[in-house]
Amino acid sequence: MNYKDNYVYFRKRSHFSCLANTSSNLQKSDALTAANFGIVPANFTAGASTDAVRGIEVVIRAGEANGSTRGTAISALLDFNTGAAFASPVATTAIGDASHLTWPAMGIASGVLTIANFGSDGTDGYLIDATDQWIIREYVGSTNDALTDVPAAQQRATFNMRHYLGCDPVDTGTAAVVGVDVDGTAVEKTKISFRGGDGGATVDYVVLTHAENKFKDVCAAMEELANGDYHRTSAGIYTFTDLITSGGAKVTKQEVELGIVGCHMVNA
Amino acid sequence: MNYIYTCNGASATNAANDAVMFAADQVLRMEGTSATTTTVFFMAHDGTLDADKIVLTHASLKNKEVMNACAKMFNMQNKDGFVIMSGFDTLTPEFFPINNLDSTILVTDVVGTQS
Repeated sequence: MNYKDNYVYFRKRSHFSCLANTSSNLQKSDALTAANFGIVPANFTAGASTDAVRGIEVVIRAGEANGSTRGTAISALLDFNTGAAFASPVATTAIGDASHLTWPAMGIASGVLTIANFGSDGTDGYLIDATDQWIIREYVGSTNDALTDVPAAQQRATFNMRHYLGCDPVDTGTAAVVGVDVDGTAVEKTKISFRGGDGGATVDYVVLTHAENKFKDVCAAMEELANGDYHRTSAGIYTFTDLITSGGAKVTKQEVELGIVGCHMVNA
Repeated sequence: MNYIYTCNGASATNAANDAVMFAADQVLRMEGTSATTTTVFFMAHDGTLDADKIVLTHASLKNKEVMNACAKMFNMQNKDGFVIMSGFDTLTPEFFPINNLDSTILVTDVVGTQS
């Protein structure tokens, strides 16, 4: 029986993706919630702002080519994925375009982002197509205190592997919650549960966003850490993921091997 | 098994929470709770579905380093009895041996609270 414990550290970099909505909700994202994003961004009325201040960046991947879709200010930010200028006319989207939305025409209310359509704002608007995909992720270099900048509950935590309870795949397979990264690659999510830090019946959990078909490897990584030898050598904590500190680069063994692009946690 | 001892700002230990001792294997989670505080949550020593806590006050933005030092402390080889996170010798200021594990964390207060 081992009477000493291994500890594993996670730092949040929230990542969310979904398929566009339809009809009256066409210009709205699905709601960001504690369960799917960790700390939910504060309400914001569309106006001058930056990703750093808001703490998140928002990308629309075009699922269909459409004219009169993308505002000039969004086009001026170039393709988020390739860094290349959009083909002329820039208001017309091509399949796979990664448009980086701006804030003057985009607000947040109870976790739902709403962007003005191109017809009403030809500068910062974007006419969503029902085949488009939203990708919303925490901004590296954020100055948003609540989400990232000032340590607070559910931003960064260390868990005792003695109280690790198990892993579950999170649904990214159905269309509405499609798992996709800004470059169009498919991603999946795994929920890692621990006994609740408040000692109660509710578990703490971490949700990793990672490359597809890596669930079993996440399980293996957790088993490896549980039985690692840091506890014998009093070597401190294992860092599982810390993408904010690394500037978004994959540095830890787990980030590299599992293709981790996101992490958030919900702690009791 | 290590046991973690901390006293709470005074050498007197004649009231609840003046000093506490928790078993290291009861640690549930450590979390940065502000730029200068990190909280260690333990399963409640009284057997209820609750948590005991130790809050460490430290240098700004050293939360991860404090968690790392705590993990080292919880697992350290210690032949001299329990592990002291903060303590007093008679008529001396409170001292913080955890600072010996990382000179940058500059822990200045450790407060244990039983549920």
